[in-house]
Amino acid sequence: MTTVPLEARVERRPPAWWGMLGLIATESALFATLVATYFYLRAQSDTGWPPVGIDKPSVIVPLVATVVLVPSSVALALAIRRPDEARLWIGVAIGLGLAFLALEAWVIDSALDDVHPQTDAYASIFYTLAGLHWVHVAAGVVIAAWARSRTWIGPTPVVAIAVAALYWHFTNALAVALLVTLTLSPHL
Amino acid sequence: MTSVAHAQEERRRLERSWEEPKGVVPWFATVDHKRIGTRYLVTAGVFFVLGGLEAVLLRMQLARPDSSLLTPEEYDQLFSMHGITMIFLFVTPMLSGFGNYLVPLQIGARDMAFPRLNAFSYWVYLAAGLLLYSGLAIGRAPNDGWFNYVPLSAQGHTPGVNIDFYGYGLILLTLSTTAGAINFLVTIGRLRAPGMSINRLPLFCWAMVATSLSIVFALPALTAATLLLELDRDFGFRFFDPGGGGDALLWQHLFWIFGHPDVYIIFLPAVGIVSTIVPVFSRRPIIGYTWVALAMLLTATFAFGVWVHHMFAVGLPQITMAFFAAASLAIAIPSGIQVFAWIATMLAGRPVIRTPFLFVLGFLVTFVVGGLTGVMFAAIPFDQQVTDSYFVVAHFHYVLFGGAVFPILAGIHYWLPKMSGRLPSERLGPVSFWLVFVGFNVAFFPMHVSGLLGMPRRVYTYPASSDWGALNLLSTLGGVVLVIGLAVVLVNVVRTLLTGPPAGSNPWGADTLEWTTSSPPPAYNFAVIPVVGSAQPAWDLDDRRDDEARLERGELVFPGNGHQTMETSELDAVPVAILAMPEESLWPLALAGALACVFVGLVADVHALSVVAGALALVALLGWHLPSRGATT
Repeated sequence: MTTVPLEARVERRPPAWWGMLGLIATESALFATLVATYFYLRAQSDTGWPPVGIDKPSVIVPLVATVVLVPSSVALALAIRRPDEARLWIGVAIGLGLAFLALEAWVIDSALDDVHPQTDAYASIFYTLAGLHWVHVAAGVVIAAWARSRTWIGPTPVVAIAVAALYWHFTNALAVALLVTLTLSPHL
Repeated sequence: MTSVAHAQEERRRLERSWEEPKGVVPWFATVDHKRIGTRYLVTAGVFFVLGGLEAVLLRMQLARPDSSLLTPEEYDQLFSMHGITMIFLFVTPMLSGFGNYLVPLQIGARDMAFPRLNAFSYWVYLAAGLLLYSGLAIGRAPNDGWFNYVPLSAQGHTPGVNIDFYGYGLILLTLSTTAGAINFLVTIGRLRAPGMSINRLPLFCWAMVATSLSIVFALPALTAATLLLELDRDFGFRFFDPGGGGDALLWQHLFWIFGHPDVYIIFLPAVGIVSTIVPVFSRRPIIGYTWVALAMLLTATFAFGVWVHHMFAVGLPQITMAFFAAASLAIAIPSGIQVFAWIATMLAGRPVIRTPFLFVLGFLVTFVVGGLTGVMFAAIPFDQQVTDSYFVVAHFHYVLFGGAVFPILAGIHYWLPKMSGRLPSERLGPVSFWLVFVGFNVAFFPMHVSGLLGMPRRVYTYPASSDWGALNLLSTLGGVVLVIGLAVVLVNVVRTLLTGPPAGSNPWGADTLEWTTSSPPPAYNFAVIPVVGSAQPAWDLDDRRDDEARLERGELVFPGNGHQTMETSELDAVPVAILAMPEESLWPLALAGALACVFVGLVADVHALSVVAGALALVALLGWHLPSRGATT
């Protein structure tokens, strides 16, 4: 005969959190494939990387943008640890995220003055990766804003905040990976 | 109140909470995994018929040399749609349908972890299928094969909209497949009945775990490939254009990094069905349960390390090819482990031959033949001789029809009693099996020979001076017999649904939990959440009597307002919480419809439509996440 105790025994993450982890896993695979494509095209290029005629990418502004963005993960971790101050800390994260989006938009816009994605595969993969990441950070801002809006509707939505934070950490990790790939690696 | 009357009262309360009302709106708003699973099965069945009709036309064209029944352009569209339909619109959705219907039942849960996401997955699948077939309807179907190689599929060589149906249609479909995979993983991870520790998980569910992990990591390669292709085609990017620093082989790498795991995404749920049916009809638990579960996970892992064996003839470095040849030989080992486990189980048991078991035997013979030719391909010198010949066509039809269609047919006959409450005919069943088995082999075995005699694949006709005419005619005749056999299967299914004898809850005397509830199951699956003590819970009569006692006491029933089921821990299935599940909702349909319009706009080059639909999709996404009654998030 099999017995079962009925009370919940252990504090666990809810299914929604695991669902978000699944989404992050598949999106990570997508970005990994595109980063692998970047290095594949680089290995195939016999005219240098970037190819002759295209400037190496600027470093300063992307570096600043990433440095501005990464602490936002700390802000969201604080939002989880101090649920009473969640609204404040999510707001801080959103602010930093918007700053990143503005800076990165400037980077992409000024790069377009130099070279178009239709010019060469180097530019095609650069703009695809940078643009896709930008869209993901923007989506993270929307998700965080939605979680923040829930703080006005009922009790602190701890699951929504945890899910938003998980996604946010993912796009921040991507920002670092893409800084290394797109911005720094051509200079190495 | 007596305890029996109390049990009946609990059932009535559950019915009130769980039964979905009848009507048009509830039909579109359902989140019941059994209804969604059935929809997947029926829709995939329709696509199977369409893919089969395409094959019939192809075989009629190829029956004679120098035939002009079809023009080259028609042939190209038909053989491309045949492959696309069978792989993307039939076999994986059909197996998802089984998964959808059975996984919650086999783990003792009342629904999937994300019921609305489940509905969304189906609607997106339907939309993607309709989008692809609208191309065929206007005579602009994809025409570069299901593998769609560049440079032929690039804008320069195929400027029409055909390839765009392929690219955008498949990106849309990947949303459905990936959502489904995540749903299966969280469901199996957290919604199992108390006591169903990870080593008591039914092997079909292990198969869905291995499949879903593969989907999560493999499908993005297809998304990347089709995204980059459409950026090249529609926006002038240069990924695949050597004149612009791009590389044509990049497509092949990306496609096959997806494509090889995809064949295991097809194969694993099918062998999950086989591992379910073999023990039941051998009247004993499977031998080597742990080996079989591990073999499925190993197959899924190795699957990511063999993709270059589809590219042995493109001129890659020898050391690269050697690695992938070795890996391709090694991947046969986990499949072999499963085959030996099944054979051992049958030898150690007392097999009872019924229709599901016949189709499983057909699978064993056919898949092993296909597997043997597959191992032959791992030898690079041999591969380079037969590449792009009909030998390849023979191989993959043996492993796909053998490895997936036979198990699907077995599964249909095995689970039809559970889903419909009626038994299929044991007279029509064996007749259909033999027609399918003989027809299949007469159709496809000659292709090994014609391939070795040099007949290339993907050609719309061949000259009378070749040696291939008689073999092709034989294949076509075999195809006719195969179609008749499949028609008999369909007749059997329809007849069963209309006039089959009542099945009862467990006509096969099977061991998994779906057979402990009624046929068909009630909307709430189980009146009381079962407590599991072994890997064969339906054979543990003491535990099932304890369930009944708990029902009469009102424990583990959760008949309260709304849909409730149990959440347990990942490894040991210790109870953790009671989950409040979402009920019927139109948001999944709304979001699926909006996303479909985004992709229609991209195919039709009406970008304004895509932008507006994208905004509507965002609205639908927000609406979906509005807090509702009973939500705990």
